[in-house]
Amino acid sequence: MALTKKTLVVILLLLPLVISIIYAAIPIQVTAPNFNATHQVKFLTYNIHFGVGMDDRLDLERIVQNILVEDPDIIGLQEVENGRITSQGVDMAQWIARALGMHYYYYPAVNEHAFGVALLSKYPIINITAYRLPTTQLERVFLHAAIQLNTTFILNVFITHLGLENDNTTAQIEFILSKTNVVPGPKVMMGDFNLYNNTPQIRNVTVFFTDTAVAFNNSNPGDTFPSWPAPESGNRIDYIFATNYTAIIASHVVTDMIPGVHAAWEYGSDHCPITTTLQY
Amino acid sequence: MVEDVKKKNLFEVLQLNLKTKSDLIAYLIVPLLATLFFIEAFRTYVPGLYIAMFHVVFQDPGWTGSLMILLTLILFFVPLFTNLLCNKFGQMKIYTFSLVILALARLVVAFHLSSLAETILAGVIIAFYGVFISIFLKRLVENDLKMDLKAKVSIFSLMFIGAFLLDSVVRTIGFSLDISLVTAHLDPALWTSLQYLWLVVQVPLSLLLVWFVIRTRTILIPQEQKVTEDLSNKPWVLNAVGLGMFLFLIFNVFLYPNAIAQYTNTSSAVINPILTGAIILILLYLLFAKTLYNIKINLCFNLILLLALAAFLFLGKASPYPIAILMTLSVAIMFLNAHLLVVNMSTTCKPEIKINQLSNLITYGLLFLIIMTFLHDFSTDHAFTISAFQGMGPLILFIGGCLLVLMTLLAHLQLNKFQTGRAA
Repeated sequence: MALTKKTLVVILLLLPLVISIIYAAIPIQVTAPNFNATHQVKFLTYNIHFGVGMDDRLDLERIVQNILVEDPDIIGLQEVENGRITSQGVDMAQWIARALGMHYYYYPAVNEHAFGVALLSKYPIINITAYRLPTTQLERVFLHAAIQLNTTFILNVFITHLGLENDNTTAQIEFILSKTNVVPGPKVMMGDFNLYNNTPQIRNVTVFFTDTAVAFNNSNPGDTFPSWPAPESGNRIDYIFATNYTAIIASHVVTDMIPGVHAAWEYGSDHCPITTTLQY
Repeated sequence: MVEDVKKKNLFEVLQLNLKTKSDLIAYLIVPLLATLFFIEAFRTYVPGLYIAMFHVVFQDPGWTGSLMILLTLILFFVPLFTNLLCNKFGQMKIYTFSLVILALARLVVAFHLSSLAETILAGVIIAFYGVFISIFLKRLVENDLKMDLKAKVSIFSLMFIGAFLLDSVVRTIGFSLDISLVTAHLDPALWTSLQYLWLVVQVPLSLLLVWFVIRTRTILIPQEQKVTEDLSNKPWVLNAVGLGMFLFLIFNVFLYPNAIAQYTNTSSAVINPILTGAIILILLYLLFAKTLYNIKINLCFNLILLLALAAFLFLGKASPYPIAILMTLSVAIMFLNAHLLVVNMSTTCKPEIKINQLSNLITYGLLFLIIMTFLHDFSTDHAFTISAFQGMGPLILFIGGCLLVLMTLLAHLQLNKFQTGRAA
């Protein structure tokens, strides 16, 4: 039976809905690495600056490329948005997780859709607790996730992005340590702390955690901010802290993301990512 | 033969009257592509404006560039000069020129420029889209299509909404923050070339628009210019405010970005397909319903819209999924209102439609959009700058919704009065 024009128009109009439903139904494909084979996990923390680089261009593809150069197993992202107009409404955490093939969890800080932190993991995330940090200024958050590396090994990962004022960061660090110190077992805490490593707040953290960049390369732990033209010496405000690991295999600030591409174009954010590989 | 949409639905009217391929291209494809470019430009422009406001207010590095973006608001006044330009150079020349500029600017944007250049070009596209629709609607109304006036204008609003659907599909397939499609297999070494993948689509689209415009421009020359209806005291401001509020709601919360899922803590994977469904629903309604201009039905629809908006803004988290789904479906009513406003502004004219009437109205509509966008921004994302604005975001959105409903219903009454006047 030949289709009438009316039926054809209805089918054509319904086609986008079918595509949309099929697309939404496709789950994110995640292939977990074999932790049992190496007992190594690669971490990366990156303040993505809402996806906007130093060239003022919003480009999430570039952020994904920046991360892909290192291909980490567990990622902490800061300044992540969801449904916000400045990022054209995109759910950034979901977008990046889909592009990288990772599990994800997003927790916004401001206005319920901005300035949030996100956790991405190739391993299953089995539990998440999110906290609002004490602040007198812009809201800040703190994420605690339990990640299952194998059937018996559960790693506690903490992600945060602290405020700018001294009083706030002191209170925020105290709050964070009150939460992390009651969690037993191996822990990794990473994020943008907005604090240099000689500040009392960071020294307070290192009482309980190891600053992996310093522990790996004390003479040159690397600077993370601003990404371009070049981080000023001593400008390290992004950290990966850890406890209960066997060894630090590698740790460095990622500065050359795409060989052959001009640096100002290749940096997706005003921060440089920092990565650490730990042996358990 | 004049077909009335009261007796036949729009689909039947179009089927009867748009028989040649050239007609179809001129009246359907050109506004569809032009509106698609306009939508893409708008969702580039509004975030650019937000970022610019942040930089200028807080004196961040790069604030001079941001100031330039704010200055592009001047481009929104370009449609005001449509009449002047048409008188000097001729309507069809300006019509062709505006569409060529639109197609080229959109093509250049696809080359992944800096944010500043992208936002400025987006402003250019918006400005010349205003010029294009002023001339297009005038020509459409005056053309001898042997159709009811409302049916003729409905062609435009059908394609206007159709472009939103097309854009929604592009974004769904690309799962993209922009019009650039996500590359299937990301590879750092290939990134520099793969980021331009969208050009494969954009180059033909821009060329097609230019080709269609040049090929079909003669079709738009009016064959009959006798429009004798007279109606005094037309409330032009109704249409301007109404269209401004429609664009404000769509480009600030309900479509670009679609923040419904975010505000109600629901999954965007569920809400996004429903939103696509809502756009399809309104297109099907426009095509096949015979009750498009029944004021009682439209009043009911608008009451549902207001209820949905109030529930969404003030009780969104109490019952997330029912409210999110109701709000998403209510976006269809916003599109219906836009259709009624476009029909009203193009048909209730005296003694004939004038380009400056349309272009002024579009400019004022854009200005209302910008005013509400500033208010919304300083009550949400930048609420911490002016403490008095804190927490006012939902209220401003609700006021925008109320204004859209009120203006649409008043315009509807005006349309009915006009219809009665014509019948008498």
